[in-house]
Amino acid sequence: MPQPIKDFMKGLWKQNPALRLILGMCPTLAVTNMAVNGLAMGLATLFVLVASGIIISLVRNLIPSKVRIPCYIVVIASFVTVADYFLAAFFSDMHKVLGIYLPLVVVNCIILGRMEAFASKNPLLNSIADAFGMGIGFTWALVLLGSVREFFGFGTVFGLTLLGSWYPGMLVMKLPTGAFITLGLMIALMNIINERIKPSGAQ
Amino acid sequence: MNETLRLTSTLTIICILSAVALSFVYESMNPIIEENKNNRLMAALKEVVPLADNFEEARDIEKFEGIEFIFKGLKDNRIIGYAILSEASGYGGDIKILTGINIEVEITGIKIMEHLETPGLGARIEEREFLDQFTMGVDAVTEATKPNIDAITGATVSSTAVISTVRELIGSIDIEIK
Amino acid sequence: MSNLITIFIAAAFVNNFVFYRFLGICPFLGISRHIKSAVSMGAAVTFVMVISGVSTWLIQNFVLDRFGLPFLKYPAFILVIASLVQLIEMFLKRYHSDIYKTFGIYLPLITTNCAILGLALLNSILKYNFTESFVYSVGAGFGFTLALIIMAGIRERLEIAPVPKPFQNIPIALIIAGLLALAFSGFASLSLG
Repeated sequence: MPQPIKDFMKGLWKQNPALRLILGMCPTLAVTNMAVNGLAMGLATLFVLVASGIIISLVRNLIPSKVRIPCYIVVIASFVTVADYFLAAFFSDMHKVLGIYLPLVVVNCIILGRMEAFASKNPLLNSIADAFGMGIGFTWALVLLGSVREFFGFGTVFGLTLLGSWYPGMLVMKLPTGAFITLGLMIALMNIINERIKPSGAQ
Repeated sequence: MNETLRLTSTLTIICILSAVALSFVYESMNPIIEENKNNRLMAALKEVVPLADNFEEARDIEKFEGIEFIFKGLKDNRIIGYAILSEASGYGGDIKILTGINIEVEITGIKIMEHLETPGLGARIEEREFLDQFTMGVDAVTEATKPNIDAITGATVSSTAVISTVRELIGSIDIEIK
Repeated sequence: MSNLITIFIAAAFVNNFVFYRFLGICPFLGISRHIKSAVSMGAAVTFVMVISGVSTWLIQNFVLDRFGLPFLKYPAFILVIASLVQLIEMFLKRYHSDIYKTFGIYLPLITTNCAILGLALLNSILKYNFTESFVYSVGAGFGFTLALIIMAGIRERLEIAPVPKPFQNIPIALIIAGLLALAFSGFASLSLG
């Protein structure tokens, strides 16, 4: 398997940033009350990951090691600003929903982590693959979490009513408590699944 | 010394490039954002003063505390009502309420424009079930004497904030306009 | 004065940064296993919060607003925070090595703590003036520290409890956090005028 494909795949499951590396917790908990919000946050993070990854991989040999963190931060913050304005202009409802958590993508440990661990040390194509993998991995985790919370909280998923109007909705799912507990259960589930596949397949 | 120079200049160059790029993004996106804001505002004004066909900001009326702006609702160039944006102190921050009244100071429409309340709880102040109570007549008297608007269970702080702010508004604007 | 007290109580309890606003979760999960480290981290975070809260307020009001540069907000804020953390670390290492030993090692982690940037942004969103920002920052830091200490107290007990393997460490911590969030939501009934 070519290296870029391998770099892409690891973010999807084995090193899933939200469920295995336990990074980017704040947006994971905050905007997953509904599936579509999780999707939007995931895509915004994916954009910043890939865009920053491209730039940083391209200039990786030009940035002196001692100032690399501030430089990465400025690049990341700039792309977050772009994403912020883009959403405000074309998807203003989603922009309002994401609120303060969109600018917090700047300090999302996933992004700085990947820049530091990968993009700053690898060629362009691999960095793009890594960023995409991590971004998509993060997105599906958010969408899943959002769908579970939305289903139990409102009886809908992505706005489609799955449970009839008889369903009063589980209040706790809409609250911070539901977020914490659902994520905890999901990570535990991931652990169980990974334990099961370990003996049978290669690790 | 050479190294410090190299460090600072690299960071400075990146900052400058970023600032330039971002100002371009800002210049191109901001007009769209402003236009969206304007469209949303117009739509909201129309929602709370449905009979009006045009709106003008009322700069002549004195804005007392908690009021952000007042728009005159016009039909065939005659004033038929007003739309007032006032602020209430909610649970998570300020709640911006747009209240539409006719010239008899009766509420013709009400809309929550902005809030930072908890989704599923305080955010329920946006629900029609709660807000429609206001168009059925709000009296400018204290809650103790005439509590005819029900707060939302589980969203006491948010809903009572809205209720008392609107009551206050009706009371004060009554004096202003008449 | 009562306004400032309200702001403090709101920041620390009612709108607790961890349990209501979901800020600072990474360090909250990472450094809350022992009370001692929780106190140190909390102190470090509060310290940085207050200084950066004030600094970013100054930047917002005297640079960004004055020169009409709203698009530089995020890069400016995060650079200020990163630099401050760097400066604080150097300062403590040199002049107050005892304090540095207590919480210095947590300082580099604080730059990416969303609670710090979150606080800076909230001061701006809530349009607080200088004093209000200061009080809000102190309250937020206090609430964060409180959350950390409570969590650490519980997790210290959990070390000797028979937690099922898949739930160990993070999942059980999250579930506990959820229950604590439920408890903190009780503060909602604090009528704040």
